[in-house]
Amino acid sequence: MRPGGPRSRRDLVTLPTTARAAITRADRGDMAPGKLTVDGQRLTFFEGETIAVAILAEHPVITSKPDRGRATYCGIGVCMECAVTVDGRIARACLTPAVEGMRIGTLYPGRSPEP
Amino acid sequence: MTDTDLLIAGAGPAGLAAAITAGQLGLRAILVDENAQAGGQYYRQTPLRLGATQKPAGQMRRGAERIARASDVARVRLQASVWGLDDRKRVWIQSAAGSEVLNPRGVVLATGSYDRPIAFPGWTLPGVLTAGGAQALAKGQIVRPGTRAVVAGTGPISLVVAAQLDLVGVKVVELVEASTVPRLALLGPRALPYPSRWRDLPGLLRELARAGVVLTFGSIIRSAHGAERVERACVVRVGRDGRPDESTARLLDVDLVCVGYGFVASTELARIAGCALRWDPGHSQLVPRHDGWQETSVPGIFVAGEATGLGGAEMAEAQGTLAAIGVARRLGRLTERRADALAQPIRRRLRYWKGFASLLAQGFPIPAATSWLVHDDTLVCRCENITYGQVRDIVDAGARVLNDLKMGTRCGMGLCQGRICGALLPPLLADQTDGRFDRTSMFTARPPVGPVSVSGLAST
Repeated sequence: MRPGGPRSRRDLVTLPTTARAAITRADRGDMAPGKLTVDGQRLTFFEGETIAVAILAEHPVITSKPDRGRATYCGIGVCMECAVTVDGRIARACLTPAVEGMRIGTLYPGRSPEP
Repeated sequence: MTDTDLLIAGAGPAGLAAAITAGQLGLRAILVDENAQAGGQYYRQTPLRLGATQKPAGQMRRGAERIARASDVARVRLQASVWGLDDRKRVWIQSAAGSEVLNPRGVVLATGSYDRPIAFPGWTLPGVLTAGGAQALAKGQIVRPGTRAVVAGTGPISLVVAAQLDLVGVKVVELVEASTVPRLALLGPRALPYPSRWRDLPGLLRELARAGVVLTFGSIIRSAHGAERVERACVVRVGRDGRPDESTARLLDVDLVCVGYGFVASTELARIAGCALRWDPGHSQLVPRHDGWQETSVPGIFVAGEATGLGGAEMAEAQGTLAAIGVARRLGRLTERRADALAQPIRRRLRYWKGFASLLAQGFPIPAATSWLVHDDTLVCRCENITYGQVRDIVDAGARVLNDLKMGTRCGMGLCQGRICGALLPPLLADQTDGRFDRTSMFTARPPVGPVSVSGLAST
């Protein structure tokens, strides 16, 4: 892990939230939502969704880099902009399916996205 | 260590074809892919539950059939990454179950390609997506990545992306194509032998016209603007001098910018195994050299599909099939004569589709104008937040190849392992320095390819 990554549990503060989520789900019909946590905060997902979709459906960004927040860019596992930890292991949110009870951490937390 | 004839890295069109053919030839194959579902980008499958409300289109259905056929004959391991490969065909794999080393008799690298990144002011803002990323979200996850979009790029993929965004309810305001009408008109007659490739075009164009998508030629994305995410985008015409003509800059009211200026072959595994490379002038990149059986310079390591250069799904399938025949031949499971007989029709198909690939490369060249969008404060390395100005200082001080940049700037040393900045910087710097910077330079590829946990490394 590079410097700047999460050093302790205390650094893992909640994701910055704005009124605006990055993406909108199409109608999920009668699917039952599941729950997972991101930086300790509960999020909803639907079976088959990636972690990236679960996060971006409620938040504007996935990682908050030193300059400002970043969301999905390449979307196919190359750019690592959506890298998160899943139960402590690094994972690409765009490739990894969300699973009930998953504990996800963001990699550059603690800064709100600023212009 | 299990007894494996053939390990195939990547379960897209090339990898699936290799697995199906390997099965027909009686080879024991393992097909490894880092995605949760096989299919690659082209045959991307919507997860079952999410897709329940959608009618699977022809392409997705064909993909599902091929995935089923491959799964019948090969062990398919998903969410598993091949992160290491050496010249003795030892393959390192990591999955949630841990890390392991396999030593198959043959390896087919079918690692595909990714959208060629370009840097422009605002390209790191949330709401700027690659064409592939937009497809993965719209088609694969059935979500709207924004409400109003501009699709900017070159090649027919832009039309497909625009149609897919429209299908999930995104208002696509404009499709900005870098190529020009005269250039495409010249190539038109040469496309006649490929009816399967343009048969859908009129319908697609009608669909986009109905959706109110404005089609602009000879223009490129110039910048994206916004505080927390994209709020506006600026497009610009390419001038006679091949550079963006600032006097033609127009602002678009969009919150989504999809960018697709061609593709970059994923060659990391071939490079760490020591496969010799060749320059592909049509797509301006180094790709693994291979013989008529798709075998690289490293005996037993074969390459197929977009990782060999760019040619589309049909070419990838032909190459995957040929590679599996080549492996069987090398293992002595096919006589020379039988292998030749099997390969002959495949090679004919390959030549046919190569013709189409070169047609596309000529019709939709990478627009050099995209090398003239950066300012000194524009980020060029997203991982390490390195600006163009920082890189330019090192280049002005004498850096000539990509590896020189690592020393001075940490460029290429971030989590993406230089796959984004390493792809966008050589053409950008070569154009900006009048060729003093080496357009063909690459970061040295090193294992692990992709993210691997330290415990995974230690266990092998």
